[in-house]
Amino acid sequence: MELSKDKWMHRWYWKIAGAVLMVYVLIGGMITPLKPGIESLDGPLSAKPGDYVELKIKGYNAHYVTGKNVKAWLKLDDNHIIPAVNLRYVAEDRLIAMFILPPSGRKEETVPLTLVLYNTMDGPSILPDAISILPMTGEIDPNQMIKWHTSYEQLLPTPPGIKFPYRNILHETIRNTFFHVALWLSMVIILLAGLYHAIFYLRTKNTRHDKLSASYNSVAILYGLLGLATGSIWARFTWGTWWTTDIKLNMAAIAMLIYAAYFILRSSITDFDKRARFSAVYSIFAFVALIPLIFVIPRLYDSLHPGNGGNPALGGEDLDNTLRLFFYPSIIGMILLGVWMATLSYRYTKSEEKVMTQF
Amino acid sequence: MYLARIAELVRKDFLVEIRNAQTISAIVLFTLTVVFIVYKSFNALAPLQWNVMLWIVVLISSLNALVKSFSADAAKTSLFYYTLYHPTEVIVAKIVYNFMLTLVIFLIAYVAFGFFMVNPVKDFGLFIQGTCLGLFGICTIFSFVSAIISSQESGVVLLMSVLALPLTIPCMLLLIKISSVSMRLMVDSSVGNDLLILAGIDILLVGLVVLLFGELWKS
Repeated sequence: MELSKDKWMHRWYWKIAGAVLMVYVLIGGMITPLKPGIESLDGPLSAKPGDYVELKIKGYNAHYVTGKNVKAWLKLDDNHIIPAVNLRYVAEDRLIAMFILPPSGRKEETVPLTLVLYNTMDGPSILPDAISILPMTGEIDPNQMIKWHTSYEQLLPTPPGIKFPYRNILHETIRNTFFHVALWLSMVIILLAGLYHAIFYLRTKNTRHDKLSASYNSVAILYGLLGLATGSIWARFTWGTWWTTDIKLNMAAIAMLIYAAYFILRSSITDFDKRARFSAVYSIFAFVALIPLIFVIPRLYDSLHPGNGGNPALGGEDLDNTLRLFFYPSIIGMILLGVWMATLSYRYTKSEEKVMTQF
Repeated sequence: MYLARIAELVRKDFLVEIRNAQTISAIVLFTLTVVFIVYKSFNALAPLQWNVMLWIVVLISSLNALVKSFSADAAKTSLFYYTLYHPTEVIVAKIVYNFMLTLVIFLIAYVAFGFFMVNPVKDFGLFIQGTCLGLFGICTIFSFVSAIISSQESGVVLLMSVLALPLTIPCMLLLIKISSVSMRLMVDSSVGNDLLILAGIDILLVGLVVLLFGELWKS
């Protein structure tokens, strides 16, 4: 009876599927280039209406010389757009754009403008808050100044091809979405599998569930540690530090402590039946105690981490369709690989027990 | 009937504690010693440190006090209770008793902290509400974990710390947050929300413990 229940563990197709998906994510996620973007800008931070400004643009993956129809605009909103009066090409990825700023129309506020670049090879690229227009002073007559355009001259289509979106702080680390985020999601799924088997152990007292629960939990810990490691690397490149006092990071670390204690509890009890029962009870308790830790407490504090303190996560612009192309396969692949690892560990403990009881 | 039986168990625990006065006096002495170490290490505590140190002292002292809450009964006596009472009655009685013990430890630590160092608590009502809810959650976790490890022969305190301390972190964080609001260390208009969340965590924990304790009790 036990054998027929475990039959799926001996099948190969889902293991192959998991491995293929992960290879696809590793290769595709690493070699797909980023969309061209504006890496940095050298120029005045703000200027008065009517001023002549020069913005020295450094592009990323950009083709300002080979690309045709290069254009630059500053944009206030969809109806207030001002094209560059002149462009000077310095290098393939360097461009100097010259603008004459129109009046912002506001008396007191400083208004930020967004820089938009276009060429036929790269498509559009955008840099928010490129320069700000200072408030109008009374001496200047707005009617004598340059006027806003109400739309782009002619917007050409984005060139085809799969490219990841360019984000100013993330740069190339946007690929970490496939690993860091997917690791945490699949960890939660695998923890749920461990919880399911813990509950079923208590209901059926079948040691199969106990072994499976422990195996799933150990894989979940491995994924959690990898999630912490990838998150730490990501934090180094975006926030500039390996670790912060950020609440979400620390709560995740504590969750790892709780599950590490689960294994200490298991190893400290020698009696098989007692170990199975107590560790099942503790793992259910620990899982429920995790809910406030991971889902409630981080929401009460400010956090740098996406998904907290008003930062978006996995929504809107952050996860576009090209990222989804690798993100979802990555989650499925990681879950499959995790289940594979867990079943290996389960089969190992089962055969170990078989050998031990023979003598 | 139900409540009367629980009260009976609480009374029994209380009597055992009083007759065996050496345990409770050791805990009191432990708390006072730790408070004194904190006091002499800092000499003057700012309200922020006062707050955090108070809760850490209470946490560690109650961990020490509650670690034996199940293993103190001999195996034969446990079997005797098992025939007499429902597991729910046993665990609820234990939580109630442990909560009172924790409150005593808290009072000792609080009075000692106030005696050695200036008491910065401004909003006493809020402070007491947070204390009761937070300590209740903490002592529920401690009671449950001490039931899990009651079958262990050695290394009980270490195992208890490893298993229970990480679980208390949500309660501790909320407790420290609420008490720092009560000391006017931070302004938070949504402190009522925090109290509600803490109460929610308490209810969740108690429900879970009552559900799961039956499984532990059979050993």
